[in-house]
Amino acid sequence: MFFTFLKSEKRGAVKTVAPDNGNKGHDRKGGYNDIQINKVNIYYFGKQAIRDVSMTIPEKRVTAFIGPSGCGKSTLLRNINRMNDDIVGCTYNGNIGWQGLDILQKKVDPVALRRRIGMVFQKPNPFPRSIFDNIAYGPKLLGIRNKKKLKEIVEKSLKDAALWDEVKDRLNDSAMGLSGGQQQRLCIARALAVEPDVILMDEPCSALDPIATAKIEDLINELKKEYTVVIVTHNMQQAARISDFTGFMYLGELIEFGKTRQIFERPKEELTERYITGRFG
Amino acid sequence: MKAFVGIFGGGAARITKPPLTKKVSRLSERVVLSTLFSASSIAVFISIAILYTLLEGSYRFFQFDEVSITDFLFGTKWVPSGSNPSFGIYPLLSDTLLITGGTILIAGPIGIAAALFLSEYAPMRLRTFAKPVVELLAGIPSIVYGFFALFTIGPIVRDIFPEATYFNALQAVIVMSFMVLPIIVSISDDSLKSVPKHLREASMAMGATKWETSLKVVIPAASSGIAASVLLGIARAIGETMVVTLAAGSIAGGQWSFLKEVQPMTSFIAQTATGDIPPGTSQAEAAFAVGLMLFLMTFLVNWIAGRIVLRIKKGSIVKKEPGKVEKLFREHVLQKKGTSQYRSVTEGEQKTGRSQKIDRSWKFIDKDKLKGNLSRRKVKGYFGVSITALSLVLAFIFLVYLLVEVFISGAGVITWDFLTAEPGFRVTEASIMPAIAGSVSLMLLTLLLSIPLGVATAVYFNEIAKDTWYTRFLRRLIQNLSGVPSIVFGLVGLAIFVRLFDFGPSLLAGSMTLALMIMPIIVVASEEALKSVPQGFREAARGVGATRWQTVKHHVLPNAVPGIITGSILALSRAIGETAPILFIGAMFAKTAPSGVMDSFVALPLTIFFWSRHAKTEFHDFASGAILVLLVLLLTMNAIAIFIRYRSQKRRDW
Repeated sequence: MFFTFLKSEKRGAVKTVAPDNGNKGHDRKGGYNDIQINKVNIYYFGKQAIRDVSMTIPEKRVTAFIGPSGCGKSTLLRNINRMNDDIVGCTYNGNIGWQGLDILQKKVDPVALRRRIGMVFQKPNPFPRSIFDNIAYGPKLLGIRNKKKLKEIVEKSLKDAALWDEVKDRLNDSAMGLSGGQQQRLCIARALAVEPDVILMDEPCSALDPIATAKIEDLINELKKEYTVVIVTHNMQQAARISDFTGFMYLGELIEFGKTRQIFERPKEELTERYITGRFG
Repeated sequence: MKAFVGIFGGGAARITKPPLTKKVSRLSERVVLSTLFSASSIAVFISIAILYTLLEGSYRFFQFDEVSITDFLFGTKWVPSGSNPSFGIYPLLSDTLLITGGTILIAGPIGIAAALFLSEYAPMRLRTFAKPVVELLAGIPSIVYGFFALFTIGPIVRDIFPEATYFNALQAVIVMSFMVLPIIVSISDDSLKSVPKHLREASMAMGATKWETSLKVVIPAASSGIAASVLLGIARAIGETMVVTLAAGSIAGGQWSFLKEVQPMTSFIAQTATGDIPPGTSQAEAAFAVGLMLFLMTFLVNWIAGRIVLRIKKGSIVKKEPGKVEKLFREHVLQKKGTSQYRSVTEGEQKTGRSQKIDRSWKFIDKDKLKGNLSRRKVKGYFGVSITALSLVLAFIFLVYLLVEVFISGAGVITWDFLTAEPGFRVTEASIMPAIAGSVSLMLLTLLLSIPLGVATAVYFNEIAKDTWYTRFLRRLIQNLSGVPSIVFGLVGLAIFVRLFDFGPSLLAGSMTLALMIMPIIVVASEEALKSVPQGFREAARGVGATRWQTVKHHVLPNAVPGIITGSILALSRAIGETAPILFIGAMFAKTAPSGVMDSFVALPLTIFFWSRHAKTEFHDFASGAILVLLVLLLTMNAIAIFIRYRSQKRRDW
């Protein structure tokens, strides 16, 4: 975290607003590569789904959003790379500061943004094409045509996603033939292939069995050395196992945000404690 | 984009990143999107073309001295020719109502009964076989029905009712009933199927028989859908042209008799196209005024039916799931008030309590009287189910009879020369070579004109359009256009392409008319195909930074192609069987195949039509030969479509 601080000093041009969370939020000041969510409201057809959420998601750490279903975790996550722009009837305000910009501004192109903030979805969603084509798709969009280069990228991405050894002999087979866990790692590899800075994961393990889940969790642990990871999860044990920071959301509001250990061991809010101890309803 | 590629070409395996504020949506992207947008506006063009044709034609009609609007609307005599013509639309209108009413009187009950059998009683295997067979009835061109009415049903009708004239309303009505049957069956079946299972279970649990449940619970619950199916059937019957033109006659009597010659509105319009009426006279221009009337009637009926269907669709969506956000919001509000739903229920129960004991000494039902009741009810049920099954069987019998009849009379005339030789003027030298060539080139040109526009429109609606008043308006237009009678498109083709664009009676004008007509069908079919592509593909592509058009081009379209092809082939097979739209444009006779797009042409349905009306009876057999060829062509196209769908579903791994 010290280094983040240094970086932000060096670039100098960062104009960020310290999130004002009272005692709820995480009170550290945001760095250049931190995602600084500030007073974000999200609405579906005028109905508020996210209410005044502020937090700072630190760089190269795993941050988990937990909370009961329908509390807005995924909605908030999808706003970070503006996937919500594609949803009819979804509007938002507030700002998200990242790399010296408010990425919710109109002038930020969501297509460019998504190449820097990748996403992995709840259900593995490989394209019905070969494994190679799945991964090479993103780089090809960026204009890379060189076969050799593409091969390098595919290999590197698959290795980073811990899938290379399992698929290296059948790169030209359909991705649909992979198991669910492999498909999800393929989707992660596909996200890595465009070399993003942030990876958003929307319940990436909810459709997987325990063994596949364990593999993805290991992978996330590796990924955080290079990437900022934000993960939405239903599974509190998972949040406790893999995340460094945790935000607990309830009914569209951020109830508490802090270091995972603190959230799970000494939550400040009663609601958080009730949720974590399972006395909820 | 190119600039970044250049940097990347170096060697470092690091992808250079453009600044976030630089628009990735390139010029080409914007060009494509606006092209798609303009394509979708074709619906506006078609609508304007229809309105222009009908209004301008009607205006010209009312300019004639012998014509007045009041006479047209309220006059009771329709004598369009002669020295003292009279244009009162009442006889045409009443004949239209007679035909439509008769058709629905037969098709309504049979269709609803058959739908009930299919949805409630038919075993799964029979259902999967029977539904496509019933829908096959809809795939047979109306000219074939007309031929069948005149030459097969006609003699039977005249045997039973000796006072019936050669052309009469009854034979047309009988055949048209089976023609509109598939519409009624498939839409009623859909709405019966969508009745929730728990309603049936509730009724059965109270001791109702299955038949009683169907009659008293399922049908009432599906009533609005059934009503819509009947309305759509009515609209179809009002707009049907070829059957009435061939089999019902050409005297608008307004006599309300099924055994006499009648002339509905569509039949009059068709008559002006067949060369019997000199062009430029008030009689010929009357077609536009009648067309306007016809258009307004079908539009009204379709509009009402559309409203009902829309309401059913919306209703079912709301009932199924209140929606995540809505639920959340409700919970949230309740939470704020401090009264969760759960608690309020328990509180209510505590307040009311139960003070009265149940008294079982009361008996309203006399058990002795019930004896025999159940068996009576069961017999009623068997009887009812048999009737519904019979309705379906009736449809099968009709279909088989029609096909066998066509085959027997058609197969005799088919020789190699009949199919390929240049036709001469003697009876023995009849050939359908120019008609086959005309139909095929018509089809290819229609395909070229309609598919790009139709698919582009569908892509725009399904992938790109935001929900604005304009896109909603366009969608409504397209929905309504698919219900416009084909003869109205004939008038449009004549007024816009032949006259206004000055293409003359050419292949190009004919194809453009057909393309306009099948555009809505292609749009709807393509949208279905696009919708079947999983949302996950789009999210995944957008998630790695593909633009809208890139997502469509790389992932949505390739996966939707088989569906689009299937839908397009079915739409084309509809176009190739249509007679009414090209009645004004096609030629009566041609010696050779058309040599260019501006050449005149004949087509199979046109040939069938002219031969059926020929004075020499040999030509009636030639007509059935041509029908056989047309049906084989259609069947082949349908088989190809089904094969493509089957193969793509088998190969698809998502």
